[in-house]
Amino acid sequence: MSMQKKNGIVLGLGLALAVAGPAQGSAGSDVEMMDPDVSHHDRASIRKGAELYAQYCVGCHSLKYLRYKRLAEDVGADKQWLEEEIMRGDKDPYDHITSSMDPQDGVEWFGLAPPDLSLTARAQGEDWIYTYLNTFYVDEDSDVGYNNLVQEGTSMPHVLASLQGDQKAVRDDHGEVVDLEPVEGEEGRLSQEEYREMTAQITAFLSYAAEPIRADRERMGVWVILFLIVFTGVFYLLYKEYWRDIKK
Amino acid sequence: MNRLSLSGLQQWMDDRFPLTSTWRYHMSEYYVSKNVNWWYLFGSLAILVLVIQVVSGVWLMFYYQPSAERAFSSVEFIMRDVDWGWLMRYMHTTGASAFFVVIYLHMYRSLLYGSYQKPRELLWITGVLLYLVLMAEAFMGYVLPWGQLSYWAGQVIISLASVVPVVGEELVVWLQGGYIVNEATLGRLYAFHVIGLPLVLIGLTFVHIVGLHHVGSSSPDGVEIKKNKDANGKPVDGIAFHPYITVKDLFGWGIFLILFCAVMFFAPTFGGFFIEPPNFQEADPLQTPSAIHPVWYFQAWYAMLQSIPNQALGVVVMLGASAILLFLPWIDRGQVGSIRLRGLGYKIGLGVFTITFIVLTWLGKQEPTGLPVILGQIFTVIYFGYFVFLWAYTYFGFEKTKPVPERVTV
Ligand code: HEC
Ligand code: HEM
Repeated sequence: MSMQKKNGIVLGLGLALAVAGPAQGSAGSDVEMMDPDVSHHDRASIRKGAELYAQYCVGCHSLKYLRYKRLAEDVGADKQWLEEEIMRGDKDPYDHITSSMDPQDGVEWFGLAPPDLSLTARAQGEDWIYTYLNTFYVDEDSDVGYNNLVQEGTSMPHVLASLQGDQKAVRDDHGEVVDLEPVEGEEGRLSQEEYREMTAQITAFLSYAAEPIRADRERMGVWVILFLIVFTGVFYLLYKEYWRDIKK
Repeated sequence: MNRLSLSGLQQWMDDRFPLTSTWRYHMSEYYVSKNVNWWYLFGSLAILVLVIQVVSGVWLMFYYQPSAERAFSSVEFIMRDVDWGWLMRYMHTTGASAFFVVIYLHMYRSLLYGSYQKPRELLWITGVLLYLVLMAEAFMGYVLPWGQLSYWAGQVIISLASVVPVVGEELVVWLQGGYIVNEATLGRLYAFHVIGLPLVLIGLTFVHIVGLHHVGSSSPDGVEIKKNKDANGKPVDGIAFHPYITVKDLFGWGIFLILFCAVMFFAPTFGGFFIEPPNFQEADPLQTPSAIHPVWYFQAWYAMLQSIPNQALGVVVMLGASAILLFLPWIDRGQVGSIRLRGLGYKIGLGVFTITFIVLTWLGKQEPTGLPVILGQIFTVIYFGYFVFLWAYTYFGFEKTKPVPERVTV
């Protein structure tokens, strides 16, 4: 192999290495992340997630960059769905999704205003959200009665506790949390499987909310790439044709 | 009646503007060695990316708002509410990284074929200046979306000016227009990013190309095609830029665009390397992010900065590392340019240098404690050591080179 080829390969390898390790996620916790395993093309899950969000989360968390109408369009739902399931009350479909909570109240109740979740899926990652929703555990020392594996000392109450049931920490000899287990007698209304499915749907929705165009852009991308391949093929033939005399 | 025909129009133009002669000089009668390979594609790709950046950038400017209050949300507005806004933004962010991929490969070609050597020293120097301006351009653009990393990386980089003796602290305040990075800083960076530096980039690119066409491109096997011309003054080993190189480059552009669009449509954040997760959080001057580091294309330089305990020295080393490139044509005393003709020492040296740059790039993202710092120091020394080696190797005549061939091989 010639030297310049080798150099090229070394460089290529280096670039590949540089992109290999994903740079996702927030530092700080060594908790193993759980994978919600829902596709961003799964409109039904996103739609269900939106309904759940409207039911359990929007009381505290706004989605200030997402408009109601856009949501309905993207999940293929109509005005009635929007009014009954999502807006629930006197809202304009062109508005962004707001929370009815006054941020000042949030500060009073939780010590901070519940954050807007429009971009959380991109800042923290889908896995992080999903793990967050699954790893609340009872903690007497906490003001809200719960702690969380991925956000230690969280100020968010476990609003889904009646569904999931309570979990408690299993600690090692140094008092470090190593696992969570259900608290007996405090079972929730859902089985573990159902709860996971539900939180995966919420995660899918939040992931959608962080980048509404994602599924469409991938669908479009396929056509763009196909077009470019044809286009490049034509230029290749043209190139071969012109260069025929030169590469003798 | 001839006046109304196409050639009549051409004549009319040529009497008033050097249209045909310019076309000939730069395109149809500009000769390039027959055997230029794909390494010679990256210059024209750089032009393509420059155009992509200008077009998408102008589009972003329609909607972007350079204020601390609205910068972040205006970017989200572009992403969600502006028709095709997301495409323009991803085009611009992907374009920024693609620019550096292309430029690094373009510069690497110069190392492979000694493009910086006589008579192309000025080409190399305008190139290095382009690279420096491009880095400034990219840094300033990175601050504009006003995310957490935008803000804090901006803070870190601007505060490097504090190492200037005596006036350092005041200089930082003056640059920032305040004691911390703030809206005044944003306004300045914006002005430089959208007009100040692009003008310089375009001007320098013009000079770069004019200079190139004066001396002509090198060839991969080290032959200067101008030394061997036929009776009409056409280099015997040359082919006309148009149509031969234009069709070749068009095909190359196609391949590039396929890769570019694959990233843009399917992985615009590129796993967090092109757009980093913390930058989806709005800038908060009161909350330092857990780790601050620049985007991948700056990380080699940043690794040098981080691994040197004395900050002033670190800054000098970091600036020196790119400034030393300006002197490369005089550091390398080699008798030949192309790697195909060079001695084994050069090949090994370049291989080590290549690995060094890649390792430094990787180190720029590691926590600056323990092993990464030591490795950073070692590889910084190797980086500079390469230039010392190259000078000694060529100045004292250690290099055993192959003779320059008479004709190019196709
Ligand atoms: C009673 C108010 C309340 C409700 C209802 C609520 N949250 Fe929260 N949430 C909070 C507060 C307060 C925080 C801030 C926690 C902290 O930073 O310590 C938070 C934080 C979060 C975070 C972490 C954000 C970040 O970037 O740190 C996520 C994700 C989240 N909530 C999701 C949800 C979801 C999904 C629901 C609905 C199932 C929900 N929340 C319902 C109050 C609430
Ligand atoms: C905006 C950035 C730049 C643009 C648009 C640009 C454009 C070009 C083009 C079109 C060519 C001819 C085609 C080719 O040889 O690839 C070229 C050649 C060259 N460029 Fe650049 N360039 C840029 C930056 C740089 C940089 C950063 C360097 C080096 C530090 C550089 C050094 C050179 C040299 C030495 C040549 C002559 C190569 C030879 O003939 O062997 N350029 N450039």
